[in-house]
Amino acid sequence: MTRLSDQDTPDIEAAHREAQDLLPWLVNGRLDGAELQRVQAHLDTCATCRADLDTLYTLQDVADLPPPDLDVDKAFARLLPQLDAAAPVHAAPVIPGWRTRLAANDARWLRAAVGLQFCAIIVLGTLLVRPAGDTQMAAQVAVQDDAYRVLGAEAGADSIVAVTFKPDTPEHELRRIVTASGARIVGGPTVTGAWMLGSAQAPADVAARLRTESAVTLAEPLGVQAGP
Amino acid sequence: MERGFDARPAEARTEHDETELIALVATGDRRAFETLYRAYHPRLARFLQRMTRSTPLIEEIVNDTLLVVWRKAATFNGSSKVSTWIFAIAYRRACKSLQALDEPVDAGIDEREGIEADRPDWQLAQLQLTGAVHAALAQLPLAQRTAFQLTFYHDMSYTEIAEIMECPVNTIKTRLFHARKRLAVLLEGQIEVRS
Repeated sequence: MTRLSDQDTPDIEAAHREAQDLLPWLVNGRLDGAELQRVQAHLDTCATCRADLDTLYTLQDVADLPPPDLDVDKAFARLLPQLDAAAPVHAAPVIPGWRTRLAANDARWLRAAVGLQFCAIIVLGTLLVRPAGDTQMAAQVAVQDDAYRVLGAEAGADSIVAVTFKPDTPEHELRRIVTASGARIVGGPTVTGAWMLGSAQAPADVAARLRTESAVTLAEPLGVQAGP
Repeated sequence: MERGFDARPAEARTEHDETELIALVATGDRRAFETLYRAYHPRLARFLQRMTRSTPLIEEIVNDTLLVVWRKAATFNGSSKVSTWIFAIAYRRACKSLQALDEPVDAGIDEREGIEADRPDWQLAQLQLTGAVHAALAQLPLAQRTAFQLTFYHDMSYTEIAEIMECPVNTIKTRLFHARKRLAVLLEGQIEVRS
């Protein structure tokens, strides 16, 4: 057996103290580098630390509790209304740049895309009803007549809300959500998967009701469009 | 509709993925937030159940914590791991809630006696040991119990735990050391704990 010099003894005691402090993180695998090497080297020579290590493994094995019995879906549904009240604090995003700007949920992007779509619809609609031949005059009169309505259209201004649903939302659920929000589908789905809803009610109110539905992933009021 | 966030199970997600999720949450992305919520709800609930036995209070603290994440995601600067940031919020909220309620900060001691009558002896012994360890952990002071739990049941490094509990690394090591000493006394004869 090697006889320890007086100089070696403090080193061994220091190594023992360090190992005792660090054993918990050897057990959970979070020790690395020089610390890991020193603790492992000490364990080779210290029966006390080896026994303590076994004990800590036992404690880790036996004492973890199963997660409490909580319903994540219900808890999330309870939180949803608070998300509207507590809008995110805007600061420089962690990942700025093209990925953020191109994200399909970016409201600025979505508004621009929807605006362009409406412009295209209006242009196409104008071309469609543009009078031709003998029927021109009659059609013009009809268009100028205030009483003229596209079938199913309502009088007055229409608020427009863009909404997206979870991909696995069944059709009947989608219908229920739209009806419950007091709106109707007037367009979509767009290339981004968004539906356009029209309503005689304020767009912010419709969007707020839609956001309480767990199947709704985005509801964005887009403003009011003049009625026909 | 393909979106820019990761819908893989929580255990398959990396730190990098979680940082991207936080970045999306900062832009108001609700789906990214829901993904993060579903990943952290069970983890935080498991963490909090050693601080209070009240299930409604656990749910309230979890939702309060994740509401802060929703509001403050843009302030996350990446200097720590996402999990460290979120657990630190949860720990502060829990301490505040328990102080406000003046609730004794003991854990939910497992009360499952009587269900193991027909089990083999070795399983019975294991269950008894588990119950004894739960009871012993519940008697530790909150700070020691939290450090112990984050180490052994959430696999965190001492640096991460120090960030969560807002104290020096050496304090965490000392808390673990004292926790083990106390457990050795409380579990004497039932488990070999030496320190």
